Amino acid sequence: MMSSSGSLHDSLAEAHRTPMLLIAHADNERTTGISQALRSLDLPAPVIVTYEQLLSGVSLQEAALQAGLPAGVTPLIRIDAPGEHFGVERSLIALGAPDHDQNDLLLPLRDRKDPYRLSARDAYALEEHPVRLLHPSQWFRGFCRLLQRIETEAYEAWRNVRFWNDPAEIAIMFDKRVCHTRLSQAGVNVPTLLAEPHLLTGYEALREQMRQKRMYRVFLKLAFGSGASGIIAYQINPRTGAEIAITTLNAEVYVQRPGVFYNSKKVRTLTDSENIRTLIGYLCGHGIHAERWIPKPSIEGRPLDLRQLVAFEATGHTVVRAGESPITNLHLRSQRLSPHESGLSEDILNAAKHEALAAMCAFPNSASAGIDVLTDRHSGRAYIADVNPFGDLIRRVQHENLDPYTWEIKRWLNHGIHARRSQNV
Amino acid sequence: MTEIKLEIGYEEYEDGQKMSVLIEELAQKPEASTLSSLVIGNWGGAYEDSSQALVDMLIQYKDHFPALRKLFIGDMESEECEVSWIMHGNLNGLFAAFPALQSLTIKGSSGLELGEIRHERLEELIIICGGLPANVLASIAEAQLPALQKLELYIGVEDYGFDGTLEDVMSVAKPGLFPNLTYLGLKNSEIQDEIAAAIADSELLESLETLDLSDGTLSDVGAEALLASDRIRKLPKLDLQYHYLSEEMMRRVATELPNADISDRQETDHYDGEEYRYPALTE
Repeated sequence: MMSSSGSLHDSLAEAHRTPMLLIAHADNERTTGISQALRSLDLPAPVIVTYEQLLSGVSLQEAALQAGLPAGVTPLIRIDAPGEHFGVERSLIALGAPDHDQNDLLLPLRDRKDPYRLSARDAYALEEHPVRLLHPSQWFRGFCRLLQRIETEAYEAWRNVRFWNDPAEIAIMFDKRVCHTRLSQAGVNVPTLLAEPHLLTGYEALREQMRQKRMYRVFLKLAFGSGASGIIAYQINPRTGAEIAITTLNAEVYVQRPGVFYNSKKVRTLTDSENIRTLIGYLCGHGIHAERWIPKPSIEGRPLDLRQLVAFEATGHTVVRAGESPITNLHLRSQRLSPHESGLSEDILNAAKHEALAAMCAFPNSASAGIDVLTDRHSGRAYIADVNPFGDLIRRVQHENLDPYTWEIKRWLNHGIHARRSQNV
Repeated sequence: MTEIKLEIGYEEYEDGQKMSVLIEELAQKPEASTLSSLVIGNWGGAYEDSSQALVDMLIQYKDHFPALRKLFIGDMESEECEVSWIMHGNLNGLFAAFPALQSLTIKGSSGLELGEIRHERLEELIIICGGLPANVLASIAEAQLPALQKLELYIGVEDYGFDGTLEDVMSVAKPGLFPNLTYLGLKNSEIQDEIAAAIADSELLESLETLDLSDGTLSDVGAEALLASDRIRKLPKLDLQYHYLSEEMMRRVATELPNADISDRQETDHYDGEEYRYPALTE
């Protein structure tokens, strides 16, 4: 087995001998970007296995051989984002259905019950609504089942196979509740947790925790959301009882139970308790992560945070995001700034890099992640808000004159893929 | 000019640090004697602890700040505390304690009282808030501020503390009230059209250099009133940034009022057949 301390020559030889098996969607920006990066470094093209193929029942090995992986060759498996594809989303919800209940080994909080579970048949009957949240918790259950299947089939097919990002760690990174726990236990700075997830059973329970802890400003997150999906910046006024929720989450509860929930492009400010109760109730049902609202620095009144790419124990591309609201995610018309343009000091940027590296170390069997870092506007202290295992799609930013994919793959060439630290995470 | 900003971060607040103590410590330092500008940022828990204690401490140590000319109380952003939730107390004592003060800026208006205002040297009074209470407008309407050159008031919305009428707003713009006034801002209002119409033909405009009606819900109705006034045409500067004018009205204003700044146009929200317009600073 190749060790991570192998010589440069060995690593290069390894990369040239080891084709990358990419589990992704065909022809999307990520797949194209990775293919181009490999080509630019004179490496073999990736063997592409699509989520659709796997979800239609083709085994990983069969799909890989069909896609051109030579028999007897062990690939490096890179699992990429399953999102932005309705057919795959629906199939993952179907895979998470009670029809397929099993041990759910890779599902982090597997004893929790999903609300309003859909049968596989009902899941397949779902229709596409571009901004609608279909069934986040059942989707995540399905995704973890697929990750488990990929892991099992990979080791059956190729005894010494390695993963770019480990399937079990992907599941943990994706679930903000257990990711926070993992980081916290590793000594990484994270915003203080409001309360253990099982205590947050609904709107009243959440507010009671806020009052008890005197934590009146919190970020509430759908446990397995991505981007700004299902995020609420929530605050209560202990003196007047007023409350404000800033969010893209919307509900149409009068249509049908359990209601229709969707993300609007626009961030709204809500002060109406009934409305807020509905949205918080939805998050609590599917899985909520609640942490302290770190007051962010700002430029011209727009709050800043940053996305830091980390790969193979080094920091790469940095993007500072200036939001129109406390929720800074890029697709919400936030502005992207270079670290220099943001006016953040070197000390603050270095602290953010340092913390992002520490966060990545909490996932020893994974090579890269896009890590969201918050900076306290007063102390400059860095806090990790999110570890996105597929967070390396960062457009129009270069580091060492390379785009993110080329930079990551070059790091792979120079350092070799990590040996797996343990078989049972 | 020397300026110091004092603020308390979340951790320090949780550790029990107090702004009044920071002020007391600053007063003991040698730089206090030459300090000309003091900015008080977040004092921690500003949604429940008012500025009263820190203001009282400033007044107690007034003699330690002989050079103080500029004071800003409440310089914080919504990342720290929503502006309409910032709690103040009675700040009246500041006027007597700092007779050489030239500029006073207050952010937040909840619980704010200014009392009877008398001050010979104050040149600038700025109140940034989501809704200005009628009692504060009344204090300003009765104020004796002979040196005042700039008055900038965020009028705001009812939901965030504006409980006055158009008359209450206009009472601070009585001709002759502040004989040296050159900048008047009656802005960030949900009755911006009415304010525009009421001020458009005021004699006060004769002596103004800038009329600031920005950040509010100004629509074509208010703009018509402005266009109809000769006094508005003669103003050196008319600040209408952040407005809800139609594109056609923008063309008219651009042609007929070259003194006007009409940048940052907003789109009116339509919902259930109603039109909704919001001032800039209302959360």
